[in-house]
Amino acid sequence: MTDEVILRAYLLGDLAEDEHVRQEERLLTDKDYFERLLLVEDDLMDEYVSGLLAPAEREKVEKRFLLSPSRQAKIELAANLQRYASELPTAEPALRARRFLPVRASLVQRSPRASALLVWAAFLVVAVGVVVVVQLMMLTRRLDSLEGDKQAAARSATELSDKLGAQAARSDELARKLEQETERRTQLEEETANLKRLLSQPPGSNQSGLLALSLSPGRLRDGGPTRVIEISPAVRVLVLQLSIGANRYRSYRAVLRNDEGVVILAANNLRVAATSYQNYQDGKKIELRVPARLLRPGDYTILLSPANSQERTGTYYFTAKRQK
Amino acid sequence: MAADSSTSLRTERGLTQQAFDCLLRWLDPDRDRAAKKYEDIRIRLTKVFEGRGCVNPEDLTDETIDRVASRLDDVAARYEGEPFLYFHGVARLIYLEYSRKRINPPQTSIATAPQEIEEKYDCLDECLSRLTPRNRELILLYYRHERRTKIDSRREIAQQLGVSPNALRIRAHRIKDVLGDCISECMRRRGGS
Repeated sequence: MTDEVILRAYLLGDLAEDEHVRQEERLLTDKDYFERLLLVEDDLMDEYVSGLLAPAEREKVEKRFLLSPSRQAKIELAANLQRYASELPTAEPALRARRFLPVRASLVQRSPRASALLVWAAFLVVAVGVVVVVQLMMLTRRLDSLEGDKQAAARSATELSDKLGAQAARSDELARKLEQETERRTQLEEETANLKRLLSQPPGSNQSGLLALSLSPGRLRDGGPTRVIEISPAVRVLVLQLSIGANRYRSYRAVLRNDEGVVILAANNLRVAATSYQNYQDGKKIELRVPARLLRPGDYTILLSPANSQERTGTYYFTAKRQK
Repeated sequence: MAADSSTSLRTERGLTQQAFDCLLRWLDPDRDRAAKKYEDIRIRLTKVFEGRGCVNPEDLTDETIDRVASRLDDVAARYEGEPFLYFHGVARLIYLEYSRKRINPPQTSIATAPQEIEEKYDCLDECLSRLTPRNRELILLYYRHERRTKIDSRREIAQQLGVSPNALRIRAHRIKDVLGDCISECMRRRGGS
C-alpha cells in the first residue's frame, strides 16, 4: 500500500493496533511523513464536505475523525471555502472581483450595517459624479457662448476700425478740398478786384501796372496745386500779400528766391498792412512789392521771418507765368 | 495547527519554569532548537491523540508533556534514544487511562448557531481579503471545483499555476492554516467562540 493509502486508513481507524502504533512512531519522528499526513487529512475533510465519501467512510469520519474541536473547525472552514468559491460566478469573474471588488458582494447581504454604509457611499459617489458632470456641461456651454461673444466683438472692432479709417480719410479729403476752394475763391476775388481797377481807369491813361494777390504759407509746391500768377505785359509790380496769422512782431524780413535758390529780392522792415476791412476779413498780411521784370516764368519761394529773429514765420510758394 | 506554548508554563499541573527549562535542555542543548522541537512534539502528539479519536487531544498532549517533564531527572539519566518516542510511550499510557475513563463515545456535532455561522462567514470574507491576490486566487480556485472533477480540476489548477499537484496541496494547506488562525482571531474580536 502507498503511504497515502496507509495514512488514510490510519485517519479512519482502519489499521490494526500494532500498525497504528508504528504509524504513530513514524509520524512523531519523520517530519515529511507527518506533513503528508496533514495533506491526506485535508483531502479527507474536503471529500467529506463535498459529499464524495462512501457511506462507511463518512460514518467513520463522523464517529472518530471529527471528534476533536480543531478538526471540526477545519471542516467548517473547508465547507465555508467551498460555499464561498461556488457563489462566485466564474473563475474569471472571481479574479475581476478580487481586483475591483475587494469586499464580496454577499457581504452586503450578511451585514446590514455594512450594507447600509455601502449603499450610502455608493449614493454619495453617484450624486457627486452627477453634480460634477452637470457643472462641467454648464461651464462648457458658457465657455462656448463667451467664445462666440468674443469673436463677435472682434468682428465689430474690426468693422469700427475700418469705418473710422474711412471717416478719417474722408475728413482729410474734405479738408484738402476746402482749402483748395478757399484758395480758389481768394484768387477769383483778387482777379475781380484787378479787373475792376482796370475797368475804372480812363481809356488811354497810364495804368498803374499793379497786380495784387494773396499768398498763404505752407503750401508746398509738391503737396498740391501751387499758386499760379499770370503776369500780363501791363503788370509792372506784383503786390504780394503774405498772410501771417497772429502778428507777434513789429517788422518782418522777406526773401524771394527762384527755383535755383537764387535770391531775387530781399525786403526788410516790412510791417503789417494798415487795418482795413479786407485785412480784417482775411487776417493780418504783410505786403511785399516785387517788380514784375524780376519774375521770369518759373517757381518761386518767399521766406518770411521776424526782422530780428531767426524764427521763420512762413514759407510761401508761387509759380509765375507770362501772358503774351 | 499552531501550538500554544503558553500552556507549557501552567502551574496547575506542577510544571515549573525549572522543569520546563530542564525539558528543553533534554530536547536539545541549543535553546532555540529545543523550543522548536518542543512545539513539534506538541503538534504531533495532538495529532496522535486525534488519530485515536480523543475529544480533547490538546489536554492529553499537555498532560503527556507534564508527566515527561516531572520524570525528567530519572529519564535523562537512563533513557537513550529519540525523545519523541519517549513522549509517545507516555502518550500511549495516558490514552489508555483516558479510554478507561470514557464511558460513552461523544456525539459528533459541528452544528453551530446561525448567528455564529454568519459571523464566521463574515470573518472568512475578511480574512480572504487579507490574503495576497495570488493566494486568494489559488485557494478559491482550489475549492471552486465540481464535486465529480475535483482531482482533474486540481491538476488543471496546478498546471495553470506552474506547480505540481502536490505543491498545490501543500500551498492550499498552508493558506488554510493562515485562514484558520485569522478566523479564530476575528471571532475573538467579535466576542465569538
